[in-house]
Amino acid sequence: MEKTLKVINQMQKKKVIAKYAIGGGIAAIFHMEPVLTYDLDIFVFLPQTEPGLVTLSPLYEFLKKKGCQTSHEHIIIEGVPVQFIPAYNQLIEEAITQAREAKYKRTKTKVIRVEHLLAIMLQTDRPKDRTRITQLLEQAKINMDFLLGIFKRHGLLAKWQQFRKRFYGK
Amino acid sequence: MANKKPLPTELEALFRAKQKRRKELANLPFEEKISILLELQNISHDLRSAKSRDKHLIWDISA
Repeated sequence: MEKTLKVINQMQKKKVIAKYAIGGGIAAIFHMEPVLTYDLDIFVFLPQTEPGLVTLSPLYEFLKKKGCQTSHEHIIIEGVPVQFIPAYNQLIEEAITQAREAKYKRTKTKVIRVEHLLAIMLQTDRPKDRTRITQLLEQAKINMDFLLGIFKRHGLLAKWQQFRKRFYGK
Repeated sequence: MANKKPLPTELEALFRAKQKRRKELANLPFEEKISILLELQNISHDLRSAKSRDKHLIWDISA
């Protein structure tokens, strides 16, 4: 995975992507026990090519020139299926901006904070998100004040209360 | 909601041990967790192959 992250860092250096952070299952693994996942989700800010226009094409062109192949919704970078997800709402934008720096072996990267990850999962609300939320709550170190601040800013407080009632009876 | 019956002591101890193990796994370095992920992908791939189910792309890296 180190080679994959090096390629992604290179994309940022060459301004193919503006900013990025690891999200999804791999970010969950960063904060909790390892669980099965198959892709590396990368949340990105893309540089605007024209005012108001954001496109993934330059990103794919850059990677194809490097010999990367696509497979369904993924692009394989150094053996890892990667999915680039442009920031699609304010919560994701905040999560990328405030992602924490981490290292994989000798390579620097950015990983979404556990509190943002919880909020994104609560917002997405698929069965696997609900499972991961309970795992993260049990295993990760969570700043509850920071988490509640995110829920307030992004209109997730009611959903959080419903979740707590459903899974914890309170 | 109906009151939950208390669990037998042995089971409680087992669940506590499992929870402790999960927390230990959560505290492993990122690199070690990715190595475990690769093992999980391989196990899942073998099981899916045996059942001829759709296979996911497993990571072609050495961790």
